[in-house]
Amino acid sequence: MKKIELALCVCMALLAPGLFGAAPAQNAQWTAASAPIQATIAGGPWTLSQGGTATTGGAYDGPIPYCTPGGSGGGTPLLNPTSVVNPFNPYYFPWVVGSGQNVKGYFDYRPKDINEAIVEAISTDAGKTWTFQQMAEQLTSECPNSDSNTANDTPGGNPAGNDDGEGHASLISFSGANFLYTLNRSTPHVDSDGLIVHQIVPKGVNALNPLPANSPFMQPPNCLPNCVQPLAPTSNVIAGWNFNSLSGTQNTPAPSTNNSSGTPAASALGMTNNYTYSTSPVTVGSVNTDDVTATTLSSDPLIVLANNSLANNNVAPNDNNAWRIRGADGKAGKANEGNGWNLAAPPCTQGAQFMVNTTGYHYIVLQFDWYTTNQGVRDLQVLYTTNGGTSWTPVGPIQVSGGGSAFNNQITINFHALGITSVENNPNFGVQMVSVYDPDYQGTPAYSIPAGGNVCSPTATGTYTGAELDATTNQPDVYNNNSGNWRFDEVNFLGTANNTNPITSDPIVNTTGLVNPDGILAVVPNTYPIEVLYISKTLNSDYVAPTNYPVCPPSIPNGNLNDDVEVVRIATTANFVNFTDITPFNTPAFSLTSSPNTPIQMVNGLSDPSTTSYSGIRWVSPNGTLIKLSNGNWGLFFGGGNCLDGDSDAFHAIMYAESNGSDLTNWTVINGINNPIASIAQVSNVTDPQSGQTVTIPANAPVISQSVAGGPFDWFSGRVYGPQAIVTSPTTVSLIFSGYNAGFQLGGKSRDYSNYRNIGQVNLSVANVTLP
Amino acid sequence: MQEPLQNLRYHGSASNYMTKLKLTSAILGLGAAIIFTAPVQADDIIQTLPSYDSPGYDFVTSTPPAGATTIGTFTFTIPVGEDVTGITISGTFGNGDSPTTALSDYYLGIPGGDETEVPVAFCDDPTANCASGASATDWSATLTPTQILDLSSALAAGSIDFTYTWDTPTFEIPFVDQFVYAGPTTLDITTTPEPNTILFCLSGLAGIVVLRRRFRKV
Repeated sequence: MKKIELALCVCMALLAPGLFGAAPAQNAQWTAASAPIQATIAGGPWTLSQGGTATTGGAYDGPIPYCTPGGSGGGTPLLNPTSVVNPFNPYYFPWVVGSGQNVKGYFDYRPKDINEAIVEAISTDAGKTWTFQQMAEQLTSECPNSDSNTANDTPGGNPAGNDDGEGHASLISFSGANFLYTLNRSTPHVDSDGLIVHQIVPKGVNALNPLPANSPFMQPPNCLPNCVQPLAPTSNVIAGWNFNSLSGTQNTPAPSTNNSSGTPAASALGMTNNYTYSTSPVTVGSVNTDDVTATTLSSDPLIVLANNSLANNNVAPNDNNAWRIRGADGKAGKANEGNGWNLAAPPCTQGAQFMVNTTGYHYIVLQFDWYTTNQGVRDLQVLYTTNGGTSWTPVGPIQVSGGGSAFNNQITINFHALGITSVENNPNFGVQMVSVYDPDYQGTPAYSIPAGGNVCSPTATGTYTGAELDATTNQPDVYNNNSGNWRFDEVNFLGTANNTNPITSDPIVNTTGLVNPDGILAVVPNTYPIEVLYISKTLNSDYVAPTNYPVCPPSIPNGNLNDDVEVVRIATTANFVNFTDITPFNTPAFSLTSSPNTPIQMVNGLSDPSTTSYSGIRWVSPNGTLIKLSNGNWGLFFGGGNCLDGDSDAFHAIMYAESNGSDLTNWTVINGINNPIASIAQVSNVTDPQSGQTVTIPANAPVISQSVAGGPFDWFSGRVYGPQAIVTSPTTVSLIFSGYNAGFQLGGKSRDYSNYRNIGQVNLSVANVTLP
Repeated sequence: MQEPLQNLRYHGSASNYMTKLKLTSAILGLGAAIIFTAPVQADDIIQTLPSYDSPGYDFVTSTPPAGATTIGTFTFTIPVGEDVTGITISGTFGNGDSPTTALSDYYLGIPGGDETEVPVAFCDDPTANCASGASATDWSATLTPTQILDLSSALAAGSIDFTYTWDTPTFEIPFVDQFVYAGPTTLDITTTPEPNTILFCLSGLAGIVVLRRRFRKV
């Protein structure tokens, strides 16, 4: 009998998982293994502690000012030797790579209203102490004119008083190629343009090689009234058009610069036609009627005074001229009064053409600014000819409009880098910028290119779409066949006689396919095509269906209001520039009415853009960390916030979530607002806008202890975000993050000169799972 | 001319002579016991090459050289009378400059020379950590006796190249340069005394034993 009983027990043990179900994978349980500390940096640019205290001193005239000699003497921006060690501020949005003790980090250096730049540093103790390596892409080299430097908070001012440069740096490393992505903060590009793509080739202390010291957005000092950014080079230009000296109708605008041995020629394509337009009554036919018109914020900052009453102050929008391509756009129903652009036009037959004689020139580079109106055609392809237009060949990727009513600045086609040498020393060279069908369009006719063909193939199928995405589906719509146009500015053909690189600045290459990106949240390791989770932020979108969610009441304590809609999305890329968004539709959970929210493209479970609860996560910020866990789930450290903050920068808490197995689009928050990894100062006895209950946030102590304004861990009591979790053993991580003190925003007015945008570090231990 | 061993005279009393002879024999016997019973001592020769960054190639306008490229050369001296009994090599794909490397394979030795090529590490999968991970990836290899034999000429010369070849990529990122990044690479050569050396020791001890017996007879 004993043998039978034993056998039964064994059988039950073996069969129990099948009979009763296997125990669910346990989630990671994080505990603090150290106290959070402010990290330090050896060397690098000026830091806050050098400027003085919370209320005295500052960048202008502190004990060690931002510039040397400083004060009214201005001078040269400080660069500390590595023998000088300071608290790691004002830096934030860390992006750290590596594991163990030796790690490398990319940081956003941003002294308020003074400058913004990318800094790279290394650490040999998992992020407690850092050593500066290199700074690049800085917005300005000017010295502050006061400690607050707010006297000239306008672009192009002298000094600029501007910190809206490139931020939110993130890195994708694949097969020995490294790409740094940054956010263009300038108006109106922030959260609408694609992220800027920089390929870096790090080598020792030249960690950001070959990024230049200065950003293409930099305004040189004392440049009024004729500011010329490095972005629009006047040297090495074979022929160029800025259209500023022209006016009225311009079907064949003359170049503004001509160093070629021929006569450069510009002309529109396909605007004179017999197509039928969707006007009411119907219009048939169009006649080319191009002109120059004031259009804001191309890469050409030159002011055409007659266009802009604010021009004397060089205040945005600085309306310089652009060349507009369109038909007459006259009366509906009248013959030949159509808009020019038409669905019936075959691909690659409508747009603009520029012919330039490159005799004597090599290393040919084309750069141009491209603008679409909201209804203008969404997709552009560059073609080139080496035989005077007998044949045309596509070159470079399809350029995708960022959403309309804005420029895609300095699109660059580097023929030399592409190995296309037939365009050099060629009197018959030219380019066309033409409309093509949209490969992202999901409707009919479906997009296809015949085998062996290209986007211009006569048998290609698809349709043109409009630049502005559909308000309901957030997808491109068919072009309206009625309105919209393209504009061009700063069209420059560059080259050199001695075959050296004619580009004197870092050309801007923007990602395509990411929807209003605010930054990358995390790169999924071990994927190709590369997968990324990213933050999509639509500014001021709460009043627009389908994202007209309940708005937050004024925030606590500073009474701010914010109606941005921000979600996490997922996308893939095979070439690090062109992304494909693959985000599924999910329904935001909360709704104040009996009708459910309309599904939108968002990753499920991390945030709810419709929640007004102080316990909810309404907004998520970029620069988080993904870790593959032994339980089969992904773990995600991320920053987030809600109506209590009134700010879509999403800095209330550092939180932790796990995916549903390998599915990166469905998440469960393990450490949320009320049991976070880290939190800003506790707020007590406030009335929750959603539940009406009196609440204290966070309800439970954070894992790494509670920050207190003016007390323990004050340096992240105002903001905390950007968690970078570095695996230091199978059961520990070093968490590197950024934080502000509360004094920075108390009452929304005070300014603490000593302690904002800090980089901090803490060790975490984990139970229930092991780490890679 | 030296007197034959059997005609040696000890200038002292016979009893003292015998005592000293016994003592000497005991010491030599003890020494022989130590030689017989003590393990053969192995030595380690360790050499490290620094990190390496290759030139970049985009596989469209530029392509990497065919065949092997040398990262560095290990140089060393095998002590006389010792044999190489083990070789291990370790390093990382990726290094402090970049966490990932282009698809590539590492070797000891180069083809066509006195050395035979011995593969030691492979980064062949674009989704593996070495090519798409977040940090440099450790690798190590322990050579087989056959592989050690293949490198015998290089070992004898005291010089072995550490090389790599580019994989033919299953993908290309057009116009984007890819690089081979290798971390510091360490070669550990284990040596032990040659068998001949041990044999000589044993022969010497045997001779001592013979002498001892002869003295007894005397």
